[in-house]
Amino acid sequence: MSDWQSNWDSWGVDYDTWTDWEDSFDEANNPSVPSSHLSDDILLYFGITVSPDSLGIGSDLDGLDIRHVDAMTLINTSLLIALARNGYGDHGMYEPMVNADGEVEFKEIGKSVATLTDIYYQIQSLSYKDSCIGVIVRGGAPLPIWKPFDWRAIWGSNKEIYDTTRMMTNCMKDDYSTHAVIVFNDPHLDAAYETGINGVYQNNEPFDKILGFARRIDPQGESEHTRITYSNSAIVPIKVGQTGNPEMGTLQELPTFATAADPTSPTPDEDPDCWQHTIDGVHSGDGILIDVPDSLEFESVRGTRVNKFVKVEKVYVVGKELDYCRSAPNDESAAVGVDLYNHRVIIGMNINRTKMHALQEGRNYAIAYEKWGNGWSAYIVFAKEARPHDPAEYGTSTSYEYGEYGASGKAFKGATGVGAILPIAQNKGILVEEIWATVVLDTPSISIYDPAYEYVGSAGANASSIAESLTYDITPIIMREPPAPIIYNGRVLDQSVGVVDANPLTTQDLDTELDAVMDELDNGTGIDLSVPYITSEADLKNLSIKVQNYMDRGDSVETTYVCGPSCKVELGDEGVSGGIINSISYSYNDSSSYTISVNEGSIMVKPLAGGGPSGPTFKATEAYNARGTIIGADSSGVNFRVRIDGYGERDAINMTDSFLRVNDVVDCTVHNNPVEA
Amino acid sequence: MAIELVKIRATITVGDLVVKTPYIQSFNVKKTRGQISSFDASLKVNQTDINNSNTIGTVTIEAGELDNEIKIFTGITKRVSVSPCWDDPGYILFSISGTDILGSLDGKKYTRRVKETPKSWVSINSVVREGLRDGSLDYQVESNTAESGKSQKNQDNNIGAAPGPAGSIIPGSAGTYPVVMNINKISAEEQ
Repeated sequence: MSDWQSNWDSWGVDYDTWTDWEDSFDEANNPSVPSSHLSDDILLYFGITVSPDSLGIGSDLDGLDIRHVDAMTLINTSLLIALARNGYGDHGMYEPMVNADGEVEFKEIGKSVATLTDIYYQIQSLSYKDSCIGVIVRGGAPLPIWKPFDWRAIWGSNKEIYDTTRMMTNCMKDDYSTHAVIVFNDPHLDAAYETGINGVYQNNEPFDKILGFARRIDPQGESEHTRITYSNSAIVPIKVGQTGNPEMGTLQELPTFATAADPTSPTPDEDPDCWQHTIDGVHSGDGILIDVPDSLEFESVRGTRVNKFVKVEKVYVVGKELDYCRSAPNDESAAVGVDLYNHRVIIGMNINRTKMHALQEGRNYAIAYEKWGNGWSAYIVFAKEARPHDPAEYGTSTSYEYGEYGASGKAFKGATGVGAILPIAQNKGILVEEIWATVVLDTPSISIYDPAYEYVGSAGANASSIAESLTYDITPIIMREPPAPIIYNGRVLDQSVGVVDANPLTTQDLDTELDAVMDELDNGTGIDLSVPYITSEADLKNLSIKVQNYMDRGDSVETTYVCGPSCKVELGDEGVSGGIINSISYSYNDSSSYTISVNEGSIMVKPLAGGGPSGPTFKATEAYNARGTIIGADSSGVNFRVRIDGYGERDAINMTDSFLRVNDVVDCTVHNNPVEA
Repeated sequence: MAIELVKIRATITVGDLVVKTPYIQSFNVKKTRGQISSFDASLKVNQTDINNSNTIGTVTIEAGELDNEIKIFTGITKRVSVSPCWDDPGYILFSISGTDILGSLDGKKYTRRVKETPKSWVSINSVVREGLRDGSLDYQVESNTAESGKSQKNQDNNIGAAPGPAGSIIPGSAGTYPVVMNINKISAEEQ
């Protein structure tokens, strides 16, 4: 089982989430090369005979790209991997040797015991040796792997749906929804490591590289006329007050031009009192509160309460239009005075139909903002645009009487009632039933527009149900690029400590385990071995432990034996003093002597084969950007068939916020476009 | 400790030239772990034998006690030199040196390429423009009759419009919502 399959199982993700291009990329992770034993291959390639008993010992070095590497080094490398792959204690290190018959053998050092005979004499020497503190083995970086897709709803668990049909179309019909908007918190799609922000997806893996986020947009019940749009801000309708006779606060007089200038003044046109009822701004105490839910208005970012409220966009009232609205005196005395209690409000209504009315800011209302803490409260202060000097206050619970212009047929002259009246245009008004405000929030939203495309029936106009069932998922496209493993005395060093996070609120101790190990090695003897051709942590652990044991093996005693001509000894055998036969010298002089000098000492006589080749070489690629036209889409809403200008047709994955459709012209990037055949 | 006489014999074969004791002046063989084994030998050879032999190729060295010679080395000759034998004019001194067979790898390089191409894939980064589609008519609301009897046609109504181009519900989505709102707008023109 390959590494990525193992990881897949551990992640517990369904295989079906993969797409073709991911599977294909994996082919590069498992390059196919001839499986053989490289040490044998090299010798045979150069015409050197290998002892039959030694065939098949060296590693195949699969997947390594070997370019003009010294043949002897490669043989030693192949044998070193064999040492690493064999379990600790099972096998020792192998070295190439030539036997007396001229055949190359790969001999396991110390496996056989030498039978030293015919010893004339022996000399021993001792040299001081520090014990080995540790062995660092630096492996090769494994190939990057794709992580499987992890689809999550972009809104997480916080999804608010608002139907704005009435505001957009003025249609009060039930089950008729052409406009809806989904509002949610910022998913905080950030590729950085450990941002500390609790978004939909947080990169908590130090060696994961997020290439981008793919989208899966899959609406249900939509038509060809349906349009879905993602935005980074939202306009949310908020109902203000109750239904029927909503509270409207204290209506404020509009500034009006002063027409009562003194005609006897020498300069009547320059009357300094141009405006009556001037005000220094509206006051929240005269208005009504727009109550924005905290869940929409605020967000916690790393513990900070962030205010997402931008402004009040517009104010609407739902009600009946009054074609006539004014106050009238009840008798002659009231007509010459200003007695509020002796007037009555007379209204006329030609059309008895409830409509949504958009009000003009600055004329029909003004917004008063009141700051508290790190938030704002917004109040609607309505204007009284009635006839000049109209003594009636209007607003909530205004008593009214139908005048002779009540032509709607719903009410007759003299009929009375009580309701919220907003005077407009000086002689008109609105009998208000509901008050709505739209507020702009700095938070993402998805708006759905689904018009009715048949007059009869219910075709279309399903915006709300589409919003309810809409699937809008995202997934990061992650390439995991772990560093080359570093092993110290059989322990894998944690290199994630040195990765700096993206959270400004944290302080990190970036003293890595490697730093500590290097400090330890400063106090004695150790080995720092680089083997970029070994990527398996298990193999590297074996290697470090074995090398450390080899370093500490023996007591630093070297023994030199001088033997007679009958002595039969081979290199690499274990000597009679517990060491390893490291050298043999045959010296023959005619008419004088023939002696065999044998040296026995430490098993470690030379540095292990460090460095060397590493993994496969990836051919050069480029990223090609071009425009294309979508010519097809699969049912998942993820993959699209795109005809790329000047390139051809390819399958592409959606990484935009847009709801893509056939014939859309899109900007594409062809990743890993090969430039080397 | 008494001195004991040991009868030693040696045989060195160079190609098809075989030299035995007592014509072997000397030889040394050095075998060391991790290194190429080497040898050198000085042979007293009849000139005629040299001329009639192929002395290039494999070298084997056997040595030991009389009638018990042990093969101790097989290698290849890398250097040969000849010098006069002053005390025996019929012969020459034939000096050879070389290594074991692994010495032939000295300077040799090996190549085995493993090249892979990362799989190409395509991403859609943005929408340049939406595809052409059929248009649609705007929503229209019925006219109101103002007090003056003048028809009040709703104009310039941007109800619900975002703080962007009129007709778009969401900022930044200009052109994506061809919806024009037609809700009664309070108009002073119709007084």
